[in-house]
Amino acid sequence: MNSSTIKNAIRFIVLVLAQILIFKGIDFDTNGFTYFNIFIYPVFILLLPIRTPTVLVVLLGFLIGITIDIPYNSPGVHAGASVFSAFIRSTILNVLEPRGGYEVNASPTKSNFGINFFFKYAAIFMFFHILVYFSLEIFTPVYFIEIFIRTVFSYLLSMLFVIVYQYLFNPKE
Amino acid sequence: MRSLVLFLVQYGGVGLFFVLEAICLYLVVNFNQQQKEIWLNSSNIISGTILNFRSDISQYYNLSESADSLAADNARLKARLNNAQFVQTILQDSIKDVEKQQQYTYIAARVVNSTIHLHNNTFTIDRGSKHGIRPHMGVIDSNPGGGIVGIVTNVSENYSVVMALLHQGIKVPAAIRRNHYHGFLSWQPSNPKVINLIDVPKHAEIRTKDTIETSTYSALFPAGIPVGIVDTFWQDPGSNFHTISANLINDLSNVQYVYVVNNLMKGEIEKLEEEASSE
Repeated sequence: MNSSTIKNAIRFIVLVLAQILIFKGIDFDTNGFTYFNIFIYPVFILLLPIRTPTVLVVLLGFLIGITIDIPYNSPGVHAGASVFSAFIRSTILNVLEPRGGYEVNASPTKSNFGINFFFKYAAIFMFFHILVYFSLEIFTPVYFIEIFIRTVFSYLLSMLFVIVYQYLFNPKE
Repeated sequence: MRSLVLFLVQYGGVGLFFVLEAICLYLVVNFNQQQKEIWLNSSNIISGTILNFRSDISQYYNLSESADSLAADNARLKARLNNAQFVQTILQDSIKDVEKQQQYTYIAARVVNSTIHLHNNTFTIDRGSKHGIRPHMGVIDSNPGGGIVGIVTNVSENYSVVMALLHQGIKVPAAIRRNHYHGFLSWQPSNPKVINLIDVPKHAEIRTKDTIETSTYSALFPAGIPVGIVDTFWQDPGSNFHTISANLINDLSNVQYVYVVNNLMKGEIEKLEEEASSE
């Protein structure tokens, strides 16, 4: 078990706790309409080492999603969104791959590739995650306007916290 | 074994993605009240649509069956109309003794083939000798406005061929409804919507828009069925008769159901006329 595995395991626990204990409580509820949820736990999938096989990423995505689902009392909703974003992660990384390719064993972090790269990477990843999340939560295309509004609000706030996380901890792997 | 693991590591992502996504959907639908309701409702809409579609199709197939039974009903009702009865009214010392006897019965039939643009047009109908059809029976349209179709010429077990009104050999007695002057319907191969009434006496007063109907002289058709509306009329030079051109009441190009007229007294009339002419 190398240091990367341990760090990712710790990140898993910290992010799950942060999501449940802090961010679950923050939602602006107006007349029963929740405008946004803040998602911080996808950072775990976001920061897995680049060489992690897709099988493992998808599996870990399911794991963290279902872990979040239990306290949220929404079996399958977070898990479905996480599995989806975990699956498209490798595609996003391929699209954003720098000219020289990725370093072996590197993680896609701000400290390794710069804020420019990280911002684009996180922006695409989080957008799909949140869109799939609200699609599964609302579950009918009839309310596509609601899906859209909630995706946009949640997306902007979640992105803020994802970037803040990078500046706060500046993880290397 | 190693290569299998390698294969799964490299390409198993897609498969695992679909499996896990399916599990997630299953969980979403089964353990979330709102999503469950939406799911059940949508599947009801989809299955309901399919069931509706199926019943629409089966109704469409039953349509011909119900149309057949309606046509049979109509034939029975037509046979009870006044013009299907032979009225045996005897005037005796101003006491009116009315008795009615069935003269016409009708057999409903469906047109299975027809021509309209030839010089001698025919219809084929799906009733034959098995159903009581014999040659020289009149055929009328199921059109509620009236109209006649032709005369049966050939009969097989299940089918009959009808010489259409649009046939050069046709010669059906007809009369003008307003003043009862008689003539014969005859067709010139020109227009399938127009028929001529020939041999109308010269002194008969004719107006356009007069109705031409089947006459009492015909043993093939009940009297009084409208056939056409007078359009123009003229007198050929040197002739003592009018020729009338009339628009047909029915459209013979889209006839679907017809009634074959069975005159129960036709034999009696013919026998009597034969006796009279042989004397």
